Amino acid sequence: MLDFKLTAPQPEARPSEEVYDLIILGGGPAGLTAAIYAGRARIHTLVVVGPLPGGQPANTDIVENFPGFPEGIDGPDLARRFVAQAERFGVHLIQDTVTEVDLSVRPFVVRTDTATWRAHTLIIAMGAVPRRLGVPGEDRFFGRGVSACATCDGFFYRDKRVVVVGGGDSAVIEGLYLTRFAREVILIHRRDQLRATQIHQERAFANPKMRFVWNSAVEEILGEKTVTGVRVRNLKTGETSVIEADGVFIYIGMEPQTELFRGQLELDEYGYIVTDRRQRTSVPGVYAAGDIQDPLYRQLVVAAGTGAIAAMEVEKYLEMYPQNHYER
Amino acid sequence: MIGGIPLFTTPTYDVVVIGGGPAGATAALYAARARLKTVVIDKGLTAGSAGKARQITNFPGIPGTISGAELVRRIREQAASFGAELVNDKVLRVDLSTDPREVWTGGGVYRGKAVIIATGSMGRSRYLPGEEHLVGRGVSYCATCDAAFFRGREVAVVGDNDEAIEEALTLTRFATRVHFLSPTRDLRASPDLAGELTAHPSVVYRPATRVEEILGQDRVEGVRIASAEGTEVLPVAGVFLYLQGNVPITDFLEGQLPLGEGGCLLVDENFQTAVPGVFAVGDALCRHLKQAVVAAAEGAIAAMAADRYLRGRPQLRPDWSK
Repeated sequence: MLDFKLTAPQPEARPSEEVYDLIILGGGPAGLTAAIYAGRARIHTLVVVGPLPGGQPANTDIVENFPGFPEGIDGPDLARRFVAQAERFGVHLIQDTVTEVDLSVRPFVVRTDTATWRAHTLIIAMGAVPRRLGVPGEDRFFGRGVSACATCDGFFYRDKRVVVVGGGDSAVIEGLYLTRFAREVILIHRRDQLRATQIHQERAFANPKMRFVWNSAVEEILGEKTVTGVRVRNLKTGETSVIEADGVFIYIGMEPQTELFRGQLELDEYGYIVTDRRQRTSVPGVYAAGDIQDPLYRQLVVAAGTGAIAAMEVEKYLEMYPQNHYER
Repeated sequence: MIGGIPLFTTPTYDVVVIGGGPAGATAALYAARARLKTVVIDKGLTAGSAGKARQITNFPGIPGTISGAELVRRIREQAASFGAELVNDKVLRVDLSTDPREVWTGGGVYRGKAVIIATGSMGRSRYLPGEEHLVGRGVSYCATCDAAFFRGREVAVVGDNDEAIEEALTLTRFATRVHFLSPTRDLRASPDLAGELTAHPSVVYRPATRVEEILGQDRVEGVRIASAEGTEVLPVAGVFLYLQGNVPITDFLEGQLPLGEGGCLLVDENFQTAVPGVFAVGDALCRHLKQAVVAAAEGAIAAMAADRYLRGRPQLRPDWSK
């Protein structure tokens, strides 16, 4: 786990009496890229950074696929760079938790644990979190042996043995993807058959590198310094056994952090915020970026790209409204 | 090519990427890392608009400034580290109807099951006097990218369309004065925008004005203009050009893909063109923002979509049971 505070206190951030041009909710790659663009465009901006400054990379050992880093980059280091860069462009950052938003009033109202804030526009970039198993060892190894993203981390498991947990399309598709790297992929599922689409099931069963463990639940992720395996319980017989593995990929669902917006913004059937290609939500002046509106790609660079687009759209939106003031 | 006969024909790649700027190089990075056999064909580090940029300060993860060429070099090196081949050559034409598809260069024919077009856009075919050697030294085509460098300075914007006006309005937040030099007598823009421009206190609007030369040795020092009132020199530090827009580089397609206005490329939400397995990203698209990080994001998406295409899978879709 990453443990760092924002580099400096942010005395300029003043609640309530001041109306920001823009409040960005979320301090991951999407939110902080939006902040970099907004700051550079001199939009008066507050960023409410959540519990994990820098976002998901802060929880990841090595990031190899963020463009611009040929040697790869340490995840927490990348997270720190996002934060530092946003601060450099003069936006206000506070580390706080959003408790309530009101999108029915203008300016919009955002309440956090410590204060109430107001802004003419919002960019929502609070991400999505992979659903966890909730078993011992999972937190300790997350980002270093336990992953929820084969596209991100599959490459680290060349000629290794990995476990995939889940039985839906994602578990099966990503399990198949992992067979490009791993010498063996063991899929562990709670039931005796897959939930995935037929064609994916057929491919998985035909793949010589894939093995299936049915009716079983992972009870613990094992290892001292690195992951060495998982303990599973057979749900029919109650017996437990150990499966050796170098990595564990968990595909039991994602949870976009959208509870605060339910009833205020259009969400899709999975709970993601619905956006158009310009990152606009169903409420004018409210934009969303990153994984909170992206059930498909979930890549740092894609999140950053949507953050940049959202900030440029905010800039255009503010220009249409003369009451808005830019910092001079 | 000698007498129309290619010098060589390659084995079949999974993905042939045309153009190695931020979009193309990131596509190659993602494709190669997914173990697809990938080649990138590009004309050189500084051939594209990102490669020409003197400094980029808004690419996330890179605090401070980096030259466009250095950013592009780093992404290409990253792609190569995962096995992508980088070829320095110019694409002359393609055949998208064959299987595999063929990409013809000066050197030979590259065959690929999927093609990602990331050729970007170029300025005009003819430069203004002084423009070429001052690009990145005060001459710019993107206020969103470069306006911040002109805080407290005077700048000129050359153009007469919506884009030029929007960019000029962006510049008013930084520059002390914005000279708006329209080559035409009337603006070819929406009335609202035109009104906002001409009423703006820090804009000097000069219709029917021709730029004769951009002046300066190492940096832009001024611009010589000519109008009915004669010739004069404006002491500006920056010149932003929006003449005939930017021209997407799509001529080598010879009509094999449907094009939008001005020759730009049309794609679906996965950046696939009307021809399955052929994708397009970056500044050659009709809707593009001239931002390296946005182009890179598009490259990543197109590579993931190409991967799905090659494995005969349906479109990406979420399957989370909430």
